[in-house]
Amino acid sequence: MTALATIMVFGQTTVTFSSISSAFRDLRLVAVGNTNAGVGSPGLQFNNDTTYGNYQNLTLRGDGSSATSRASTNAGIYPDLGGGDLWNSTTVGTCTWDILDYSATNKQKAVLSRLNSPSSNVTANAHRWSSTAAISTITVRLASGAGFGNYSTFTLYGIPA
Amino acid sequence: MAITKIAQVNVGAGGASSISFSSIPGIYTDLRLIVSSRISSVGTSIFQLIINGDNSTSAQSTVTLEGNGAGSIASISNSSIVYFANLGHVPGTDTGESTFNNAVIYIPNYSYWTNKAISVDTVTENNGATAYQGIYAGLRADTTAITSLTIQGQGNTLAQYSSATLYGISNTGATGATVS
Repeated sequence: MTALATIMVFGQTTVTFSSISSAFRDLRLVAVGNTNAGVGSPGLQFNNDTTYGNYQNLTLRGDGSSATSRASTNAGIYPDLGGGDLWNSTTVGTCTWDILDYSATNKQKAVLSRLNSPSSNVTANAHRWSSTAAISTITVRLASGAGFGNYSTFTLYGIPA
Repeated sequence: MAITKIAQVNVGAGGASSISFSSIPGIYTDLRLIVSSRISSVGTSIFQLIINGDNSTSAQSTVTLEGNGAGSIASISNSSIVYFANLGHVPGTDTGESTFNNAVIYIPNYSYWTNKAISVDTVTENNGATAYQGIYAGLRADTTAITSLTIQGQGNTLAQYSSATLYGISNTGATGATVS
């Protein structure tokens, strides 16, 4: 596993990884942080594709009192919490996304993720980006549009075949 | 290479009360601990994690989601707990020969000045109708760097061939993408 890029942010609303090397088989993106105000769920968009309907998400979620499973179509790789949110401004959360076969041009893209907010939710998710384009850009943002909390960190790793 | 094996512990014939890693260097970014465990007595025990030897400060909280393969699934929230006392199950001698729990514990930014978020996934093998699979979101509300990790099975002796491997994951020297 090789570190490709890393950043610590202070209140910005998006983090963008670009010019991603195609030399690996899979990517792993690790995020640790919170919001700078309110709540929000971190998610991904690939190659600047913001088209609603191009992303499908399947979520298994525990909220501390009940377990649910939901499926949704969205404008990005987001967990579907049925209106709830993962990250908040007071508790540090974690997110890891495994983006499989990211540079292949003969298949749509599958993503597995584990998203946690220790004060509210634990989730395991499966996602699909319905494009056969190689992924060269990944944008991370909160579904609510809020900014990331200070000292939130994002690291992209390449995993070789 | 971003991932480095820091240490490995293998439980011998006499068993062990726990598996510990201490003096963990702060030179990495994240920690990844992979555990395979079994207790040497009858019954199913609870998989537990203690950080920095601290089992008295109510700094831990968790949200869990667990299923048992027999139709039961539950999510539980715990706050102000003195250590991570319930992160899955550890099989005992009545679950069949050579059946072990498998757990992956991921601790990002373990040496940072911030509170520590922990992600745990566990499964328990069992040659029977009931086995456990769980995902856990944990928080240690303490800004002290993590320098030790202890795995235990709720006071039960960990059986021979239980093992744990600690890896350090580093993001230094990153190259291959641009970030903004």
